[in-house]
Amino acid sequence: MNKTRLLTFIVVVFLFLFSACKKDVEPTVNTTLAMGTVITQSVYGEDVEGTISKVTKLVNDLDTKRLSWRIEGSEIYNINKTGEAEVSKVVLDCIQTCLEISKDTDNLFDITVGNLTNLWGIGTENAKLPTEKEIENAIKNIDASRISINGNTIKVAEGQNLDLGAVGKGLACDEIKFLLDSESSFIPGGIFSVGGSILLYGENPNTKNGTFNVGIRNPYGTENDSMGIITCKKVCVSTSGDYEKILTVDGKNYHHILNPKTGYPAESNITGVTVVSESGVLSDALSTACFILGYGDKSKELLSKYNSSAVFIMKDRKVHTFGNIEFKIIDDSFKMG
Amino acid sequence: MIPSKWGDTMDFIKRADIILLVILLFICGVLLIPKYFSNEPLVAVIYKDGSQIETIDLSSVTEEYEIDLECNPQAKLTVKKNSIAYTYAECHDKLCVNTGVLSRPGDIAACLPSKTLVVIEGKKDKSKPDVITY
Repeated sequence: MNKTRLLTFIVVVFLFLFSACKKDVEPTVNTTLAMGTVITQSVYGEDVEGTISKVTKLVNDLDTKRLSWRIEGSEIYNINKTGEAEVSKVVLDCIQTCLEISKDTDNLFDITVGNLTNLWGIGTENAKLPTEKEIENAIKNIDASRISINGNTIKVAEGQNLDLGAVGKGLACDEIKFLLDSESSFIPGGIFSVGGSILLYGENPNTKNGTFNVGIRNPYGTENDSMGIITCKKVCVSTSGDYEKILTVDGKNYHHILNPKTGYPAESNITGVTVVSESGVLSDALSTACFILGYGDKSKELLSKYNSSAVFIMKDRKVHTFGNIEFKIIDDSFKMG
Repeated sequence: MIPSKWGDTMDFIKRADIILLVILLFICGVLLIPKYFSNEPLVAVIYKDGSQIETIDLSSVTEEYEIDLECNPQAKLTVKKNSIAYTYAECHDKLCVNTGVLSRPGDIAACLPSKTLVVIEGKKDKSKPDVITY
């Protein structure tokens, strides 16, 4: 072997060795409790601790100062207490998006469900199975079209109570994105999970095209088990399912996604739906709406209108996708429908 | 030189080249062993009221034991070799107990009423998703 060939040979082999040994970039991971849920941040880049602290504070502030209907002084608390109150642009925009989706769904998605969710109390220590009379009373004032907006002031009709629980986590994702976009220190990429609603920010440095793998929780497994994986980036992902918060009475399970028309947990042909959208408010609201609507033309029309895609998990473990989505099943007990 | 019907091709690659190739590939293999068979410690981190209260190297646990988190409502964890789980909780929904056993990096269990949280830290398995939506 002459010297040139030998050198080429060694270089090629060591290039192979180098590429094979290339280490993944590890994110800085932080998990905490805020907004009554688990917040997990996986952030790529250097010196990101400051950003992580800002994100945690942002989520806490969003809950305590704006969205919580339980915390005295928050914008939603003030509306419910007095019937009308001035709100920030963040909350105003969010409510306007919710009102539009209410119209689209003939009020099956409705943020004036406060009395009903409070009555059931699912997910709280006051959870109970209400009487039919109580449910009748709680649903009689549900009608988002009776909300009026004048400048920054939101006014609800008498007897109405707002509950932004269906979109609060998604709104947190949108606010995190806004914060990161305006941060002076550059964050190349990260994953922000606010109680299972997810913001995929920037690029994943460990994949060729910068995408992240988002697992969809297995409805029949535990919180840490996935049944399939969506591959995407620069989007928000939300899931609504009948397995997350449950009240069991006399052996019967009641989940937390309530149908505003009947006052009872929504009954549809699906056990869970995951929606991918450009914004967190949209992915949160659409996943709730699609859960109540079930898999069918109405859900598809709604998703199309908002340029969103979805994975529907049917009760018989068949899976349907809609829209432009890269999805694969990783648990063989599920089949594409 | 190895006699071959490939003629010129085998003229180019001599026996010594093949031996060198095998040696270098062997070195590659040896260097890659830690990458695929590394036994990184499995660490459980326990939080209460937003503060980290305990870190446990689960891989070095030899005997099963219980931790009372001294919170309200009361919650207890059971620690075993390579796993940890909420096994008792006085909260209303028992979501923490129903989360089951945590044994993989990235696994999380939370008891929201008692403001406690357990996270398994460590390098994530590449075959697992980056995050789970629920």
